[in-house]
Amino acid sequence: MLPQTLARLSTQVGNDQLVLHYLTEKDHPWLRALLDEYERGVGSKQSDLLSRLREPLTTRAPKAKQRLAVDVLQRLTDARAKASVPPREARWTAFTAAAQTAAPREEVLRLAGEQLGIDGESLEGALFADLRSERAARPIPPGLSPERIALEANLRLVNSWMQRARSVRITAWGNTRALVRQARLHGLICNIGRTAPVQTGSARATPIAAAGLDALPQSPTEGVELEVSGPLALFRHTLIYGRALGALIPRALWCHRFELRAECETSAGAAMATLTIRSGDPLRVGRELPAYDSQLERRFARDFRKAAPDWDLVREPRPVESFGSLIFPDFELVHRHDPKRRWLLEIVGFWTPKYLEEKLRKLRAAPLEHVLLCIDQERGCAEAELPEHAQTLRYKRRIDVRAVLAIINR
Amino acid sequence: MKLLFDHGTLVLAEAPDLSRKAIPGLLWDPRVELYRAPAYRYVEVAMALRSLRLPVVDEVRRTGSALVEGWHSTDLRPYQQAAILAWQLAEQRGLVILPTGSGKTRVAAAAMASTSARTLCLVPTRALLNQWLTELSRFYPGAIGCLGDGRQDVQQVTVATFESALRWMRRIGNRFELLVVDEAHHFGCGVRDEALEMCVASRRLGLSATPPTGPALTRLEELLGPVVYQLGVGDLAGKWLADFDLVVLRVALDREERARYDADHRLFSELNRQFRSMHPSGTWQELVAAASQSTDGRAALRAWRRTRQLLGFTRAKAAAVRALLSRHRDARILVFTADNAAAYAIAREHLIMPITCEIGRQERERALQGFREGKLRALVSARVLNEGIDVPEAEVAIIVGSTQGEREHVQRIGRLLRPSPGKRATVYELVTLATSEARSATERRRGLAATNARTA
Repeated sequence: MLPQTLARLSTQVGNDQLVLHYLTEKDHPWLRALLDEYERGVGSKQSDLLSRLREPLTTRAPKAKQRLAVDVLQRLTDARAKASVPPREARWTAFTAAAQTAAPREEVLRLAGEQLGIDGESLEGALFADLRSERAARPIPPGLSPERIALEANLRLVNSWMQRARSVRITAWGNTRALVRQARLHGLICNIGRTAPVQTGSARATPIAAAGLDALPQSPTEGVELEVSGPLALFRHTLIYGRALGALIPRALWCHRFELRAECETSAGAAMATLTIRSGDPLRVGRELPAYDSQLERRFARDFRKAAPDWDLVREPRPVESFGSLIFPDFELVHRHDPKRRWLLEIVGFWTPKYLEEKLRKLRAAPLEHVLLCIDQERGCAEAELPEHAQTLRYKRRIDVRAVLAIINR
Repeated sequence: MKLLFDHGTLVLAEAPDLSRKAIPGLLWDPRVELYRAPAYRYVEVAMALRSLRLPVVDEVRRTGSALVEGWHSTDLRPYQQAAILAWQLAEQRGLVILPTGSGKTRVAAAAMASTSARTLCLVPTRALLNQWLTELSRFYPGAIGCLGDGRQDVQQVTVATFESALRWMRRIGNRFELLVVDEAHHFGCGVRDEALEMCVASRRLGLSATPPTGPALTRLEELLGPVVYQLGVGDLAGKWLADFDLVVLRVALDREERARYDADHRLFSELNRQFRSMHPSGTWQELVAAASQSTDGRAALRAWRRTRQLLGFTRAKAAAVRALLSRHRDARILVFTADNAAAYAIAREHLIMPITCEIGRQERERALQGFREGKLRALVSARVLNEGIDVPEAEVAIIVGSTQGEREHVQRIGRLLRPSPGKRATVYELVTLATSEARSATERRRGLAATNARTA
């Protein structure tokens, strides 16, 4: 994580707002100069090289941004030990030898080196070669460009502030399911509401963060508003959920459009300030999230598409509103020739009769009749305890696509 | 109505309107439309609900009521027995303050044996995690769980690092009845306190050699209970702890160092004077925050950092270390520095093993074992050896530099106090004359005021 001092230096706090000084295209020239300077110092002691990189460059650079970039560069250039013998062995051999004799230092190193088949000078060079403050700088890895440093630095900056977040409000349109799941996975309390329709992109569009808002296709879609905080937050302000809240950022970046507002503590015990991140900010979109939450879902989707050419399978359909909250079914099955024939399908892992009863009650109240719940028969109660009127299908490790088709074609 | 454990808190499901009832810690949570309370108030909440004669199904604990039995008898010293008795009398809640080397782990084992309760022990570092696992296995034959250092195994008796506990407590906070916290002074003033808040265990035992003061102590008492028993180094030195001599060696800066020190010190003193004139009771954090706002302020802070670096390992200190290592050629020596750079400089010059945060666990353990067996004659460390690590063979300590004040000083000296027949330890403290270090050295020795230390 980025040191808090660096995060503060790259942030302006005013009117209870945190304004992040992102690295943008304007910074690319001095970032190039920084990389060139690093290249020149490859092989020298990494700590010395990093100190030099923090000094003024040939191309003028904002000081705080430069320190931020050097920190990122340090992490991206994974320096490894370069020594004639493993440093751990070098240390053990040299220090145990020194404990056994009162001979001068050079003599001890020579004798210890002999045990390892190297001379005293090589042994001395290996003694601390693996320690961060002592090791040599390695060549720049392929693909490390000014643009990548800038995007990495921006994401680290945002993450650093998110670690100091107490609560988060996200308004998102499209691809929001992963956000909700992530929040629940971390035991956060996630209140979900519906937002007004906006102009947003189609499914699987190029991420807006990379393409810019102008690239959006003009098709209205409803979004959701999530307010996320932790259980303990009821009693007092707490930073304990910082990591979990920070983990929402990559998910938010994969939404078609989003705005995230986090209440962050600027320093220990200080007043809170709001950090706002939205689509279009220069943030790196991380590794694409898996399309399916589990192997079970992936396998079902593949089997269904193969076995049911007359049906379309929609991954992550629109959430359904019921009793003021939203339900997120796993799939929607739509008949190609008769789009009125629609089924929502939800895969239920661990369950209890009460849980199912509650789920069905909400689905019926939606009102939705064509809902199929696929229930893991190894994780729950006996047949007799199933709720009445439940349209359910039991599965064991794999969902039987033929059984699903038998129900929806009935 | 059901009382449930929910991610480190308690919730009341299917509850009637309780807004007019006085139930400690219970609040209405509009986010989920349930009553909620912090987990550490479990007993108070449960008792209040019972006293109101409300029909409650308590589903907080999911682990049954089996006792943890099979503990071997622990042979306690008189003061350890007294500590346990005091803790029992305080309804099995409270802080036991004993000096380093006096057997706090044994006191904890005795507490666990006496309660037969499912216990979670929290320790600050991975090194201490392994030390506790080894020590507890001498008293308890059953499986001991471990959270931390890459292991994730929860048993009826489990040891966890503070960091792992913070991550895991929302899931396991309802599984234990006794919470033991080693080096408890780390709690009471930060986000880590929430690990203690998220646990329902009503029996709590905090162990420390250096309790905090002020608001941190108040908070710690709320989370663990009051100080129920306290002894200092002076109470045990000579009989239960090794006796020791404290030798303060005063060294001087050379001319070039003095010039650098004076210039930098002047710069910082001016900043400090200006800040104190406006904020007489301002904290160090407030001073840093204020100084960071201006170029001059930042320059003054950089000057302060330079003086710290300089005083940490001056040329005279380097010469003193050389002389002391030579003088105690046959003794087992611990060298404490202010920072890693000084530790590496000493390690490089004298070929002695550094124990720093950059040295991995396995190598660290190998080095400690080598030190115990006499294969290594000295260890040098900035902070890692400060707390908890057991090195009873050490006879001489050289304190080259310090950054953490009184508490660190007491902890460092404590490394030498584990007794052995005929042992008399020697602690050398190197202090640079006519610098800010001279004053802070006097302050940090206050923690030892009750001892039989002899200064030279």
